[in-house]
Amino acid sequence: MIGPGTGVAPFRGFVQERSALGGSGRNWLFFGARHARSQFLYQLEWQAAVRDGQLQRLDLAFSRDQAEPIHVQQRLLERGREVYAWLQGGAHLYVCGGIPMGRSVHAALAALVAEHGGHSAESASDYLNQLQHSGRYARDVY
Amino acid sequence: MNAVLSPMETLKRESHGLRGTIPASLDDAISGALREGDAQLLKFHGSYQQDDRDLREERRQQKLEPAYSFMIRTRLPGGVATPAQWLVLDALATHYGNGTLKLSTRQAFQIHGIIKQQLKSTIAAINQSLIDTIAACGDVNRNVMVSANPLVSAAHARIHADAAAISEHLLPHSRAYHQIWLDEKPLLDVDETETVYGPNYLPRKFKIGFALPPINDVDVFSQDLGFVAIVEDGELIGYNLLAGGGMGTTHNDPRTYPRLADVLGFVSAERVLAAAVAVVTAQRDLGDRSDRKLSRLKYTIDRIGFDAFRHEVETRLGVALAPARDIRFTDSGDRFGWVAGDDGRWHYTLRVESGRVADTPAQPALSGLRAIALQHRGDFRLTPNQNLMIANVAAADRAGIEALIEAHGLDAHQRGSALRRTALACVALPTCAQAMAEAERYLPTILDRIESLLTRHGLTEAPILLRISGCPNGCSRPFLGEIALVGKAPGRYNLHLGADFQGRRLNRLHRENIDQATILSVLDELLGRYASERETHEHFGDFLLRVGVVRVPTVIAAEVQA
Repeated sequence: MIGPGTGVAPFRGFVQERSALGGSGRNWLFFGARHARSQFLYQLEWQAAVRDGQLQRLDLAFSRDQAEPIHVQQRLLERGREVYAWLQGGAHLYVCGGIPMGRSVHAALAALVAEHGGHSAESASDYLNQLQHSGRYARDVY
Repeated sequence: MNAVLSPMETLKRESHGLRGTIPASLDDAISGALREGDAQLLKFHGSYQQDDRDLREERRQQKLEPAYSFMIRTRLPGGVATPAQWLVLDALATHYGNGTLKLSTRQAFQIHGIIKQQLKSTIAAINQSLIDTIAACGDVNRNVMVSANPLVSAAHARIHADAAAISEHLLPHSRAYHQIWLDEKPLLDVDETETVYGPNYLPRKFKIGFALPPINDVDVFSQDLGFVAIVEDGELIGYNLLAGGGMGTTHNDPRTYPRLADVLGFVSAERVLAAAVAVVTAQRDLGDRSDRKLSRLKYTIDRIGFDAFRHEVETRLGVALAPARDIRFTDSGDRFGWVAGDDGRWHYTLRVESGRVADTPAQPALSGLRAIALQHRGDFRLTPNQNLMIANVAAADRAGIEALIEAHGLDAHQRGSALRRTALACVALPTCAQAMAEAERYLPTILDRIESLLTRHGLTEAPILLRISGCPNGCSRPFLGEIALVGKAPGRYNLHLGADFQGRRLNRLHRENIDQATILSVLDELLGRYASERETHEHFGDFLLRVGVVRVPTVIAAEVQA
């Protein structure tokens, strides 16, 4: 689940639903905003979800909290090896948020697939297309 | 003493020399707070985790955690700092803190409002200015206080050196601080054994103060361990040794009480460090480690008895203590304005209300002191009354300093009542987690109201000690105020009355849990009686005792002997 800013909204429901249904699989959220202090949306709920084991992984990118801006796509690349391993293991990928973010995240995904899957740029693109066709890569960008 | 150890004891023992998991807590982006145990251990590194209590409810509704930030406190024996150090602290407070410097009642600087991401770099920058924050909080010896007495320069320098040596000697040996904040690489051949403290450190905080009669500005009887300098013909010959003072209490827990230190005896100047170690280690070994409310040295002494405690100290010291010398204190205040030391250097003490150095339209104090620090060639001394001394000014430099003082409205001590000049307030809301009521933010309001009573009764020049504390822990040493307000709930205080003016007699609870209107009506009546019935030079607290408004106190040794 990659949902910076208001893009995190559906994932709140995802986690709640999984928790209510007693789902036992792994899940991983990438969230970002400008400032942690004021824009960490649903911070208390995410803290509780991590604490209670409803959310296994949480990576955060607050772009304006340090001199050099950091966005979710950087976090994806930093975790590239593991993200690729999750995809290879059958993970479903969801992206929600602004259109430019969706584009940057797509590029980051292609880059990490190329790097960690030993793909060329073209075959990394095919890999992502294949994910989309099989319903494992869904985007809601606006 | 066979009771179960408090959880804090386990936390300390298993902290790997106060490290805990602080580095991981700092890196954890999911929260602006540290993990629970780390937040406790952080105190030993000179910082408290706090949050803006004004914003708690609003943020809770926004599903945001509290607005966590950190207060950083310096270890600064006697509150002596150079102009260069002042400028560093000013810059850190301005850029990373809340834009103010707080001068504490224990002569330390406090910077409030540092967020977690900036905590390490701020502590590192403080250290680059050759000030550290080690053990400024926690179950260890805290900042060692020294009278700011400007009159006897050589004696002050000597006493300050003794205080600094004790502060150094009682630092933890763990390299945790240097490794966590200053990126010191772990070294194999460094012995981190806590030879003084042991693996569990002290049972509770431990406060040391040095007084230089006739001024008792450090409130030496409120310290766990007090040294009263005995100066003969301008030369320091030794100290009267006091032990067992402490302010902190818990509302509605009669097992807790403020207590004045007992006079143990006299030690020669060369034994001062050994005496400090004897008292500290006695408390280390005998203090209560099961109930933190009863862990301070004052309760240890009352539990085992004064004679047994003195014997314990003498055994550890290896010599019997000589009888205490006669001492006389005149007051616990500061000398405002210019005062000449006996070496011809000049000192200017300026009033800093609540110790808060901030820029306001009427008094741009932070800017003014920055300008002074840029040109001052002596040093600064934070006084135990939250005021500031611009110390060691050459006669030729006086005019320049004075012009800056006036230009920035820093001569506030020349305005308002005598009561206003000596009032103390702790920080309390919004940052202090302990606060039950306002203190610092309430002080301007209550001062205005009390001043109008003083004006009505012709008492504006009557020196009366007012102290406000947001809770009964007593950071503003409220139980030594002639008038004290101790926070009970929002807008409600316990009114204590009847301490003396020299810091030798505790006040007594007069009215419980009252609001401002009641406080003012009680004070109006008593100040009116004081104005008409007082004897010459009789202080307000003494008057209340004489006329029976405050009941005769139970006899406490120090009240009789000092």
